[in-house]
Amino acid sequence: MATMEDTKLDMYDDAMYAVDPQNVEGELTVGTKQKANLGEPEFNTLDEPIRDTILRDLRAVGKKFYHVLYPKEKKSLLKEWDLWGPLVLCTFMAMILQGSSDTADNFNDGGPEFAEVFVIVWIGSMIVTLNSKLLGGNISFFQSVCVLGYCLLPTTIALILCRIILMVQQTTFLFILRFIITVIGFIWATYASMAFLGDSQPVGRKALAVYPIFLFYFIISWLIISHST
Amino acid sequence: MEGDRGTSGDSQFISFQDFSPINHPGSGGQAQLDLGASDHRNFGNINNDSVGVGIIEDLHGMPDKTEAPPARNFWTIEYYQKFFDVNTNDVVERIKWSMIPHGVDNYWKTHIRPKPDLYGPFWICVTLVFSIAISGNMANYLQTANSRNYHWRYEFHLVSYAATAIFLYAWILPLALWAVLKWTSSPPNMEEELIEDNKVPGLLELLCLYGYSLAIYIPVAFLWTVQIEWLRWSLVGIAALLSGGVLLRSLSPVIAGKHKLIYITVILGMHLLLAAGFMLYFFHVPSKNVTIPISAIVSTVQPTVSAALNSMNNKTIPNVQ
Repeated sequence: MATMEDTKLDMYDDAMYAVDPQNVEGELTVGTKQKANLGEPEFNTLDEPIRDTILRDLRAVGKKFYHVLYPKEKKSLLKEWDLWGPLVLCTFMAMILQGSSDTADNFNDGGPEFAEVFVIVWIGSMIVTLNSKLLGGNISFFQSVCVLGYCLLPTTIALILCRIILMVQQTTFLFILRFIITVIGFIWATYASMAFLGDSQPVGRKALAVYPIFLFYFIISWLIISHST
Repeated sequence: MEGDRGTSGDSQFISFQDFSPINHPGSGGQAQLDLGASDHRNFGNINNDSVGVGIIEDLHGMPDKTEAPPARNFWTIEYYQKFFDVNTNDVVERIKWSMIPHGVDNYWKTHIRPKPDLYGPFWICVTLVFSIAISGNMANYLQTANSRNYHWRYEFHLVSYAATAIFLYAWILPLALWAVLKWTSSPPNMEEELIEDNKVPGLLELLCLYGYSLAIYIPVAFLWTVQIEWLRWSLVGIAALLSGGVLLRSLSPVIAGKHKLIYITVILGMHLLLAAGFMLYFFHVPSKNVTIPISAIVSTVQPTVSAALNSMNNKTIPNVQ
């Protein structure tokens, strides 16, 4: 019992809990100065207008999109991950790509369903990430999922262009045009994600980690080129 | 009263806090670490003492046993990293030699045995699933492109069928083979078996072997889109024989016995059956090409026919009366 008492006192001192729990005093500060680093201005997020909060997050998402389209700076996408961009892109793609199950002539469209596109994108990027973790890459799980999701942007743009082309009467030339657009989107996405993720692997295993990324975007590009009305 | 209650609550709170930090780094954790260390030491001693086993293991060249890797928790990623411990050229070599049967060199012993991995089997299966789905769609398109009025649609759900078939084949067959070999193998005459190097292969090794043996079907799947019937069937035969030959050559020391013929027919037969199944289900033209137009014709023709029949009936019945 005596030892218990001693240790208790030690604990008290260590944890700096030497305050009377009955009447706690102190200042309630939110957003201390240590948090506001990395070039962010010092502000208190508690009493700012909601518009500012939303705009700041939107700006962060937009900046990430910009870095995907112009993959020059390597660390920009890895600094702070979020999954808003991937969610938006994935939902959009799933909505466009889903095959309608009840068309007029009662033929199944043959395309994937909404949930299937969703599963391919999310489970696919998770498997790719897990693969690079298993190979010994030093990158956090969600960072990699975030990068893979944001790098869907070129393929999504390709999908929008293909969708516009599909509105007119189809010819062989238009198919070739769609094919070229999809291939460009695919190469762009693979290149961007490799720029961000390529360095995280041990030397002899780069190709092993890149191949699943390549396959991931290849499958999504296949879905895009196969999508027809 | 309030003060009393406060202190009692306080002491409870404190004692609760006490337990975890002091017990863990203190006695419990230390004891566990000690146990682990002593265990390892014991194993090391046994290995060193029993000279025979040690020599045999040295002959085998199993570095992982002697190094005694730190035991990882089953739920951590580090536990599984040992299945993915390969470099790019390892994988390329394994894929290459899984397609070329070699008389002298036993593929299983020289390539798979030292360090079986799961990277190759997994990604080969995934690639094969999607290459079969994609090239199956391409083949279907090429077959229907000539007929004008047929509106071609791509069939995404080939992916599910291909995935089911391939993952079942790549998992069930090695599992069954492993179980059969394990339970029918001769009673454990340990040293003799080890020296003759005919040890029953582990499940991981068989999974790895079978996964790599599917690699040849990936290029073949794209070649199957060519619309020449004899070429496609000869591709089926060549692919199945090549990778099946590697499989047989690898497993020949293990399956040598009175049931050898059964093993050979099962292994080669299943491999051929898989290839033929791919070919017939995903690439075969006539069956699909015939059935769809017939059903379409029937659905369009049926109303007119029945209407004609009705009118005929209406006409004929008064005549009879």
